[in-house]
Amino acid sequence: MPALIVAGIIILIYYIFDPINHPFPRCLFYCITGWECAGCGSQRMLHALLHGDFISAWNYNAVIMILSPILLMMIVAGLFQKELPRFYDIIYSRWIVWSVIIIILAWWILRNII
Amino acid sequence: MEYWISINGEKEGPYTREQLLLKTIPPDTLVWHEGLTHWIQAAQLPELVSMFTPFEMRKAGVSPVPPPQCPPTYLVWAILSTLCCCQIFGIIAIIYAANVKTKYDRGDIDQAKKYSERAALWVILSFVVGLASIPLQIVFALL
Repeated sequence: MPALIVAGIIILIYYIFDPINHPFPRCLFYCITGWECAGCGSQRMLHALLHGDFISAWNYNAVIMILSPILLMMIVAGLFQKELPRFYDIIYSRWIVWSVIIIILAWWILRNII
Repeated sequence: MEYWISINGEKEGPYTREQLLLKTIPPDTLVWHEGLTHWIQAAQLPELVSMFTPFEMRKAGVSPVPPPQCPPTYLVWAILSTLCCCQIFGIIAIIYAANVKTKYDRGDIDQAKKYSERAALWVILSFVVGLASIPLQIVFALL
């Protein structure tokens, strides 16, 4: 329940304020290195997504949009580990987990060189 | 941990868990390790039950203890902390998180728990560093 309330507040903040022209936390990695990290653009993406602007959201951060279905399934599998042991086994199988890791790292590198 | 086993009334050991896995002992072999008050059947120990097939268990008439659940992997939190907070610590958390289930699938509950705790620790560190950097960024922005 507290998690839902926190999630609701976060969604409300990102719905109302556009990170482009409001002071939002910046990426430490980007500040120091000048390279974008794998999560850069996620705040602008969330704002665009909450306003139904899928194209902008995709352009701000594609990897989170790609991964969010699997992350949601991982959360559900974790919450219902006892009730859905087969689902948990599949979602947290080595192949899926390492695919997610490789997607994140590949995206991190590629977005800085392309 | 060191295990002693009792075969036909003869005490044998000490063995490590890995050595026991290599020995083909029946599931109703009596086993003892430090901390146990009495000898119990090998199949009653969660860390050993994975070495027996259901067929062996039925043949020996041993009722299996339900295997312990996989400890939380914190993988989603590790990924979120990588994408939103401190990336370097987040990556370390992801590596630990990814190994929790692998260790668990091998029957190594102790290692799985250890990796689970490490993953949680690095997730927390990552979030703390991410949040602590916000005041720093304000200073940067003002300069």
